[in-house]
Amino acid sequence: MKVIQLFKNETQLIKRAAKKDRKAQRELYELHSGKMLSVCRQYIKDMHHAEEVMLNGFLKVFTHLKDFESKGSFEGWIRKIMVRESISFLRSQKKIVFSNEEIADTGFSEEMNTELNVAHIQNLIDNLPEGYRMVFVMYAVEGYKHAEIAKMLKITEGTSKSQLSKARKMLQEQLNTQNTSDYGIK
Amino acid sequence: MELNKFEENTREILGKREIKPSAQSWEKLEAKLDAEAHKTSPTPWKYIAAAVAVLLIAGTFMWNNNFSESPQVVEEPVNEIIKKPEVKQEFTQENKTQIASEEIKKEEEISTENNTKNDIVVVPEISVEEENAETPIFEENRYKEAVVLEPISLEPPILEEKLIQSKLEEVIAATSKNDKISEDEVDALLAQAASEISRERDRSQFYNSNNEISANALLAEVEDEIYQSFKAKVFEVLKEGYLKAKTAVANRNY
Repeated sequence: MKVIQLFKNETQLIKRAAKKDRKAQRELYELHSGKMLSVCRQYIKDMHHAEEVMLNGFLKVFTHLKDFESKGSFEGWIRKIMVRESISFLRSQKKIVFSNEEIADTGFSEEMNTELNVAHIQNLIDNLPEGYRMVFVMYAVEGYKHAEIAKMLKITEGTSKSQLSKARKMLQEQLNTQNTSDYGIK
Repeated sequence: MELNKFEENTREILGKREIKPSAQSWEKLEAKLDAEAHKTSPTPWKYIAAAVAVLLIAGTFMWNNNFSESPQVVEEPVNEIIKKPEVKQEFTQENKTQIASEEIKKEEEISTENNTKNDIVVVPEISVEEENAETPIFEENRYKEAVVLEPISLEPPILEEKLIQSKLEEVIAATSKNDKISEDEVDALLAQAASEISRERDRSQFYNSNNEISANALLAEVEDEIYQSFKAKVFEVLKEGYLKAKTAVANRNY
């Protein structure tokens, strides 16, 4: 009930926040900051940096709130801003390397345990190189298409695809080794 | 595939995940928003100032153009019709000589090359001098005709030469034949003739070889007419506006 009420109020809140109503802005922030920090954390290992990026993302959200057309979902819109903000942060850090190194193709065990908890998944993703992680998260978690990823990261679609397959291979490798050693699985 | 399961799992789990930001995070964001609000407010003023400067310059240009163009369009034909006959009448009343007209006639015969329009201009002059009684009217007609024909003429240089020649001759003839004319009058007549010739030349310059209007000639004529101190003022305003706009543009990022 409470959630439904909040959604009803959201358009109202957005309108007020667009007029620089601080209270409305704060409400919107409280409503979405948790999820958005999670989004930023997917891309950025360091929690402090992730939060900083999230705050900068919200700054953009509030300064460009007039550009938001109520057609799409508000959460989708700010999520996109967060993803862009995270990408530009990583780019400014110059950590992104779309490496071409080949990863040995390892088979995976049939009985691999895929019931993983959040911390473990995050840990697996964190272990990926920046370039792999970005493409993997954008594709597998956020549901972007390769064309969109290529445009946002300023790479070719082919690179996006190869990064994804390399990320998958690397994840599988990790899953295999962790499965055999039972590391990190509860 | 197992990996697909893993991806599904990841999407589901990470999609639902929420991480509570640190306690002071809203305060940090508020500070950022305040800074942004302060940053954005002064910039519009800069843009407004720059826009005003640009408008000022554009306005001055347009006003300047209007001012200089209007007299040029109105005055030209009026000058020709009114001023010329006055000067001419003075000459004709003092009995022009046949020598002048004969010389013109000879010259015409030498350089007749297809210049029929020029002939039309000159021929009445000869007939006019034969019938002295009706000169004023004929002279007027002649000049009206000349005014009409000049822009059409395809060879302005020849026409100009002839005009200078004829005017000089008229002045010489008038002065040499008539003893009553004083030195001052001669000077005045010469000055008048000179100004006429220069005006003729200016006008002929408007039309280039292919009958196009020369912008430079128009500008030269217009500049003579503009009141000098006004011109200086306009340039001063232009300079000021330009400097304002320049500094506004140069400093916009600071």
